[in-house]
Amino acid sequence: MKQFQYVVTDPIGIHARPAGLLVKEAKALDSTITIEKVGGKSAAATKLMAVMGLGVKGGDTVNVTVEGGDEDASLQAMEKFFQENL
Amino acid sequence: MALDYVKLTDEILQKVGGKDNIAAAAYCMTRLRLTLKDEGKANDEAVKSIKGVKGLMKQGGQYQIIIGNEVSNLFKEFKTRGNWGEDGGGAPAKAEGNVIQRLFGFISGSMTPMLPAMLGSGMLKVILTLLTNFAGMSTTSSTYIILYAVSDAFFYFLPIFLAVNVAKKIGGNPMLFAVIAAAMCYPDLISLLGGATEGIEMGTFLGTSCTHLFGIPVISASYTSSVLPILLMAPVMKWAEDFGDKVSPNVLKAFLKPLIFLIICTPIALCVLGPLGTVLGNLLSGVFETMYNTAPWLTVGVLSAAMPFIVMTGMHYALMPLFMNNMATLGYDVIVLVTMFCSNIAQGGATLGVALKTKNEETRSEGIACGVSALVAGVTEPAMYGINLRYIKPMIAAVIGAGVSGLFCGLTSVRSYSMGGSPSFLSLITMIGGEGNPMHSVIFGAIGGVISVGIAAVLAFILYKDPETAPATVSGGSGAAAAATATAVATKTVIEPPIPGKVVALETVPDETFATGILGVGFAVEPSEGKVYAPFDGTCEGLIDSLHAMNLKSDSGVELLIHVGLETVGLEGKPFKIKVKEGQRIKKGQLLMEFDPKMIQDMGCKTVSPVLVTNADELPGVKVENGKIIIE
Repeated sequence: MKQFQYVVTDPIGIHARPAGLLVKEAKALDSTITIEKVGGKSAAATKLMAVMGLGVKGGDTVNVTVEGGDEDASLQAMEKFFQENL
Repeated sequence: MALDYVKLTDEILQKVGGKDNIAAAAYCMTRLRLTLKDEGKANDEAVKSIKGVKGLMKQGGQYQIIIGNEVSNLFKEFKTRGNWGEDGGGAPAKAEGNVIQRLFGFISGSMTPMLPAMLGSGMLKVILTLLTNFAGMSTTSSTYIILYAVSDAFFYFLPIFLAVNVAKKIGGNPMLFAVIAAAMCYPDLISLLGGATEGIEMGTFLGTSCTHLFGIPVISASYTSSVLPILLMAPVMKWAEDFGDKVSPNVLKAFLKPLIFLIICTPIALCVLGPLGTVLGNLLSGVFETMYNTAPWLTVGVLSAAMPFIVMTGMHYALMPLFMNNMATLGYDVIVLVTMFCSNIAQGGATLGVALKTKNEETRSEGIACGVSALVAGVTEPAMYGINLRYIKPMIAAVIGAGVSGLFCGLTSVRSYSMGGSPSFLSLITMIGGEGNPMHSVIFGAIGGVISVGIAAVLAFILYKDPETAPATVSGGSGAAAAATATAVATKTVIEPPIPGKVVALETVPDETFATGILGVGFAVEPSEGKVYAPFDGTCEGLIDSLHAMNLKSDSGVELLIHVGLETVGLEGKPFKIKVKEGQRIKKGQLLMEFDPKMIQDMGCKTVSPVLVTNADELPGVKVENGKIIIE
């Protein structure tokens, strides 16, 4: 299991579009990926509704956890995704 | 529904085990026909659940993905992805199945790539028949002769085309195989074998006239338009090519191998297998002719009734040699074209019967579309898979309709004199011809067709019943709440637009995330009124602080995202009034949200609102049709 923390810079947060992209990205990876809003709920990154349901907004901190499969590759891909999109 | 061919191609390639797992790819009317190196690598369930895939058949070593009429467009994209032969390019895959299945797979695989040529030529023949019978064109005019040559060239030189495909299919050299076939159609050879060459004495062998090749008797036969000689020669040619390859030293291989091939194949083709193929061909059409002459009604009736099952296995293409043989030896065909005519039309009739009976608008429009496609274009897969097989009873109606109409067509000796597309009402024009009244077959064929439609439609109307509509409409109660946790959808769910207005295709939404389907499968609504209603019984799973979107989950497990307007996340909720709370039960038709379309526009956003199923990959099949999302 590997984890990183990210502070969302997009003022709007994880709304429909980035959530959709995130889900797509997460489905393409072979690890199980979980997004946790610090001080809030957590959700499987492959479930669009759950991810949107986190209600992550700009300035919120999220913990991203990858487990199983090629964890290093998945972690890198996720970090890259968050930096580029959120 | 316009399919996204690029996306569909990606998905198919991924789910059949990658492009490297494909040995050959071809297509027919409605199916993408793949030959896979290892069928074990393909995920059948995943393939079936791809949006745009109507079904999957595995037959004769082919992995047939049923797409619909759009398959030719898909194939344009598909073929750019890999360097596969149309069939058997490169090293052919080890064929699956028993000997019979492999043989059928071989025949149908050698035939399908010829379809475009066959249909084009066939239709040109039909046009010529019309011109000569009704427009007074003379069969001795130069225009006729030229056009006839074009329309007949494919059928006349059929052995050559076939040899090329056979070679591809079994991994031989197409050009070498074609040489043998071309020689058999060479004009001087034809006149020699026909005894028309002056100064050459014809001998006799086994009671037939013959000439000689180094003293070996060459029985007189005509190989133009033939099918069986080349099919029989296939293994010999393959062996001769391999043998030539093995015995020639590398330095000489370039010319020695093909030379050895020709030296071996020529006598076998002309002295043994060619004549044998001719005899078998005559025997085959003789058998059918006898069956047909003795009990035409029984033969045509039974075959018509059985035809849907033959079509279902995709093996009707394996019947092509049969009807081509009939065409070449008898000048007409009954066994394939007429039976398919009766059967195809019955399929259409049955779906029309269902369309008349059903109270479900969706089924009605599907039934009409599938029916017309079968009746007019002879494309029966949508009718068969979309309606008749799904509800079984219409299929029974279609089989009975086909059988009875086959009996009638058999009794009245309806015959087809040319090939023009898949048999349907339009192909009645291929029935013009023959001795006596050229319209005989057309008239009785038309009556047969009407019988077929009539019986199939009436029986389907009587037998068909709309299935009970699941999901239960219990509201509130804990029972329904428990049902909401089930992810499996019991039966078909239809999601109608939750917002009043005009439904537009998702692809037209000017926002790439929605248009490309990343977020999910669905449509968009151009709202005429600022209201969102619950499209099903379920729960409101999630709201967003900016109020512009909501997530719903149906009791049958469908997750739906309704996103009001584009870029409306930035409006901070002003134009939106939410009428439900997160986690609250919702009932179909309940008002969930009010919004102000004018304010959205004034604030610089578009009002077009995507409605998407976001968990399509967990559901058996999600498609968008006629402005509704259908989950089954």
